[in-house]
Amino acid sequence: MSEPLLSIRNLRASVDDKEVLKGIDLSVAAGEVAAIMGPNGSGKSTLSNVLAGRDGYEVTDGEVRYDGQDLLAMEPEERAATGVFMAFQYPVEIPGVVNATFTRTALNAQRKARGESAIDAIDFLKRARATLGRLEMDEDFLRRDVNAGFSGGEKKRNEIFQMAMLEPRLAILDETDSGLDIDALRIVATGVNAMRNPERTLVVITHYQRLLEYVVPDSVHVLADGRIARSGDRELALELERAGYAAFQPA
Amino acid sequence: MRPSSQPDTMTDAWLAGQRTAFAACRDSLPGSGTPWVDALRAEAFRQFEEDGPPTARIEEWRSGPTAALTGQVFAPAAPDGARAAAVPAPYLEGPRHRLVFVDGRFSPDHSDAGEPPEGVRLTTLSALLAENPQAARDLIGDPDAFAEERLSRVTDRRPQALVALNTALASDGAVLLIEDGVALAHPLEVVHVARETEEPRAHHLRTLIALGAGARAHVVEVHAGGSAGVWTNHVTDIAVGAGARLEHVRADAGSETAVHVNVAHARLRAGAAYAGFVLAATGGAVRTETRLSLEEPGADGEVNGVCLARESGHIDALTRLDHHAREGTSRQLWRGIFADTARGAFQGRIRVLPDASGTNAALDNRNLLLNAGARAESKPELEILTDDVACSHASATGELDADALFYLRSRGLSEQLARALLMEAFTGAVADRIAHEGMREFVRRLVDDRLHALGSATS
Ligand SMILES: Nc1ncnc2c1ncn2[C@@H]1O[C@H](COP(=O)(O)OP(=O)(O)OP(=O)(O)O)[C@@H](O)[C@H]1O
Ligand SMILES: [Mg+2]
Repeated sequence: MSEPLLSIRNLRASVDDKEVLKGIDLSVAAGEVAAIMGPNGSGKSTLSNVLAGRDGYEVTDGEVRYDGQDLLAMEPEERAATGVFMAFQYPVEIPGVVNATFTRTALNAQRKARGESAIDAIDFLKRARATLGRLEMDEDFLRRDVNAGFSGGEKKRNEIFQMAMLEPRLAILDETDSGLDIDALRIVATGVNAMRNPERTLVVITHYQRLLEYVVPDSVHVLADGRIARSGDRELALELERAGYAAFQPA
Repeated sequence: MRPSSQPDTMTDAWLAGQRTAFAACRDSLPGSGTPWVDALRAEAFRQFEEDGPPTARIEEWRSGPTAALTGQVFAPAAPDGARAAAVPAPYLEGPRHRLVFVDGRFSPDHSDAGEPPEGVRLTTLSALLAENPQAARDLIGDPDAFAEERLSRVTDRRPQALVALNTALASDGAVLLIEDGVALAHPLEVVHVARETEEPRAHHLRTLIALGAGARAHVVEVHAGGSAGVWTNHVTDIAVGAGARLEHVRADAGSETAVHVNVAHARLRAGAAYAGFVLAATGGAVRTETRLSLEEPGADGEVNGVCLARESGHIDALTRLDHHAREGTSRQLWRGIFADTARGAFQGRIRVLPDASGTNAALDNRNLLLNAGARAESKPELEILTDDVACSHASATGELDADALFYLRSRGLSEQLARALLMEAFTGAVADRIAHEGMREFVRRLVDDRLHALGSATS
């Protein structure tokens, strides 16, 4: 098998001097959909944030290679430009910044970093409208300020919209399914599935088997107390749904 | 701690310098030789001396840039036709009336007053006083419209030394007088260009705007040029007639090293509306005052501002909104961004007097500090002397939102671009309130330019 797109080795990270990631080992191949499940507070969002490059996390050991590069050495915007995308568990409200402006600025900043030409406003609008249509989102979203006053579900859908526009190679979806009603879950899952291809890797963090019924994972990993405690296929998700995490809780 | 005042020897020297200046130029100022003008100027200078120099001992000047002002003696700039001035291209796109003043004097070559409609008198203070001083006195409307006495009534509290000094020494300024029911369709752009100077030079500018009942106008006053030795002391005296509406922008577009004092006073009659916007941008020192007097029922006052300071710059913004009569409304929205070791102070006072029941007044001031060395202080003051009012105020000072910055960067924006976008969003809400599209676009461009300077200074 070729080198995985993402490979995490013995990753340790602390927040405020508290060790949260205690030696993560995880490899995900190009085109693979990996699900990460685990109890509250086990470090799932911490892992996503470390991968996306958020300040405030101290990596004390280990390494992360992405597409042959040292991911942890890169600024967040460099990671984005090479194709890393994280859908936030809690998307940030940014009043005063219009969603369309933001999305186009982000897209063009990434294109510029890759040496590609900018997308003009008209082409952008065409693509944005088509994407919104697929996600059954109102065009009004483009005119509204980024996440400001959005409902919880709208925020999550906006993350998926951004992802679809930015076309990342590695997308980490941190509990994108929580807060969605049943119809929205189906729509979001359809949007995510539409993005599956042999080049694109998805890391789907979720608490529920329900999302995985739509977005069927190639692998399932249990993150407990800062470590990957078990890995398996989709059967593992079903097992967790039945038995819970009791077996993985620290004694 | 900051010293509470300058040494008296410094202010003594400053006062002596102003005396010399007044003695030297009183006979050559516009209107001199006309008894009422001479008397007004003499009385104003006497009042200036009585009020004394601005020091931190005076409550309204506690956080003011007093040292920058009185630390050196700025002599009034003499007319100097020999040196060319760099006059900027028009700021407003589309049709406009434009008056340009260079070093405090009207420059006909750079101006284009256009053809104001009938019922509009667009001129200069010097022309008005030269052509027919007695008529000027009547034309201005109120017999004491250009009188120190009236300004002091608007301000309701002395000392106002710099306003008095301005009355004594005003060298020129724009005059816009509009009769009842007349609208000035195109905006008026007034540009004050200060030439660079080695010697400390003062420019005492006086703008006069009087709108009759139901009149309409849009006015932009811009300061351009300038250098470290320049002090502008600019007073804009405004009367808005019953049901009339004035939209008024004051903006710094010039050197960030000059010292600016801008004071606007507006009196609002019944149902009148004044909408003011201030852009203060500096690495030097700026004091900006806006004083509105809502004198009759149903008046509406809006005073918004953006303050951007960097390096060791200092911006002191002061508003005083006095609701004298019932059913008045007022809104204030102020945003400040301070970089490096800059500091800012906002004093916003809303006074609701006993006859002003049914008043609705809101004030909102927020500041961003970009560096650990920057400081901002926000002081809203509500003085409410009647029941049945709705007043609100909010103020906060903080840093750029780290979560928002990360969110933007994680989508590919560089740190600098992300910061710029957040700063634009922060100030954009204020500029958005400008109703006139051309004026709003001008302010947006200018704010973006200045934000860019702020961003590149810090990252
Ligand atoms: N910025 C922070 N400051 C302090 N503690 C933090 C911070 N971020 C995370 N933690 C702690 O690290 C641990 C892991 O948090 P994390 O958010 O990664 O969990 P999670 O697995 O995503 O949980 P959930 O399923 O509830 O989203 C928790 O104990 C949390 O309190
Ligand atoms: Mg989480």
